[in-house]
Amino acid sequence: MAGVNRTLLRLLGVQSGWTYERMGGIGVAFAARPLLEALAPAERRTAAIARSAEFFNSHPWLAGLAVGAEVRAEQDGVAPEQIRRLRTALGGPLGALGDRVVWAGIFPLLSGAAILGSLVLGWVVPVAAVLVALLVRLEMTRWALACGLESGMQVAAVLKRSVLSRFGTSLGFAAAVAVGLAVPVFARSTMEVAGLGLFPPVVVALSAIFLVIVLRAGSRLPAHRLALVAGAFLLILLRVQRP
Amino acid sequence: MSWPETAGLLAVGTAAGLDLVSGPQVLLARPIVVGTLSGLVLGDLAAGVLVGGAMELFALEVLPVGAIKYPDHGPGTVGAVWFCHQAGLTGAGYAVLLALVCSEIGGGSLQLVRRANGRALARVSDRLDRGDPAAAAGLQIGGALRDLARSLALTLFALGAAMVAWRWGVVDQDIAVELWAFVLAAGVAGAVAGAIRMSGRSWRGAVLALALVAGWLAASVAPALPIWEGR
Repeated sequence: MAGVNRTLLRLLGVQSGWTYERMGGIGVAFAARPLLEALAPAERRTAAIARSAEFFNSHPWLAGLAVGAEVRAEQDGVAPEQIRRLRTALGGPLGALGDRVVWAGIFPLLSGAAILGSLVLGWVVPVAAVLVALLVRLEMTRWALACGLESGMQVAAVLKRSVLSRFGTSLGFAAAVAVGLAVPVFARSTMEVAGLGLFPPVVVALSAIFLVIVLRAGSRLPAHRLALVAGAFLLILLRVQRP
Repeated sequence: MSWPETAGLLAVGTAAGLDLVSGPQVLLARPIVVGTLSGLVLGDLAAGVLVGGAMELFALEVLPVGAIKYPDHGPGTVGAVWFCHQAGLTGAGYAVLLALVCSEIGGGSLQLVRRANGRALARVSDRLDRGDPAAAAGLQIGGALRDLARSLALTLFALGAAMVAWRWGVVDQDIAVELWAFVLAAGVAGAVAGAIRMSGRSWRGAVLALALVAGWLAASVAPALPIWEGR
């Protein structure tokens, strides 16, 4: 189909024009345009482009599914209200699936592997992690667009049966293993670096106290803010004690 | 800092900032990648992995869902690696604190870009609603350019702040170890909290706990890791 490659390329930067008003809607319109160019007559095309720019929110790696389904529905002459309902219905499930598979699966898995790998094999592993992420991103974007274009209004049912939906759980376990191994190995090894000799149980106890604080405070006090507060407090305290 | 090093660090920081939202989002914004690449540019991989790895612990807590506000760890990590390269590995605690301040500023700058995108949208929303394809293209490209400028400016700020901190001699070797302990413990807490939240009430939590124990035992008996050799 004409324009598929241009749409794929545009989907790689789908969140560039992200706004609070329409969220990812602008990115969807920009990505869908090459595929909507063939629509005739012109009034139908401009109406489809206008609809594609309305409010939309989903996961960026899976936005192609919505773009493909919407383009197919426009080509099939589906009623505008039905297309709007399709967009609304797709946003939540695509977001949830993407969060589970990508943010809570692929990213922590590759990050954990990159931390562990960098300690043992050097720069090669973090660079390889980026290449793996890029390949998976390209394949997932291609699959999502193709799936959307093929299934149109039936996309929700196809998504439910897809391999990706079943992948989330396994990826989650793999991510837990990678992070679980990487965190103590990194922490323990840095304590022994020259000049940073620390008594491990002290750091373990401090980590446990901080973990309780972070879990109880939730989004009010994430770990990076806790580090800033604790670090500033420590600097002031120790400078006063050791003038 | 030589010109090639400056150019390399600016390129790494800008690519990281852009990849966080506007780019393909393929780990280029992750601190372990940014730290490693910055370390390579400076010829000091150990400093890059030490700072990048510590910052990655904080990044593992963040789940960038929907419209929530989250920090931008990438550009700050670049400045922090430069600082650690100058101060030596004992300055890593100070370097990470510097990176965390830049991350907070980076998160705020993302909101500014999104509001600027919103103002641009308000100016062309009539054209957009009439189906003018050039309006969407202009908004998308404009948004990418704003994010590019934001990422470059944030990297420049992080490097500038690192240079100022280094010139002022903020590193106090007497308290460097205690500071690292605090920073490291907070990072570990962040990474574990993030993993627990992502696990929910599933068996994944038990797997995480087992992996943490296994990792700790393995690290306790393992020989010195190659990355820290000679440091």
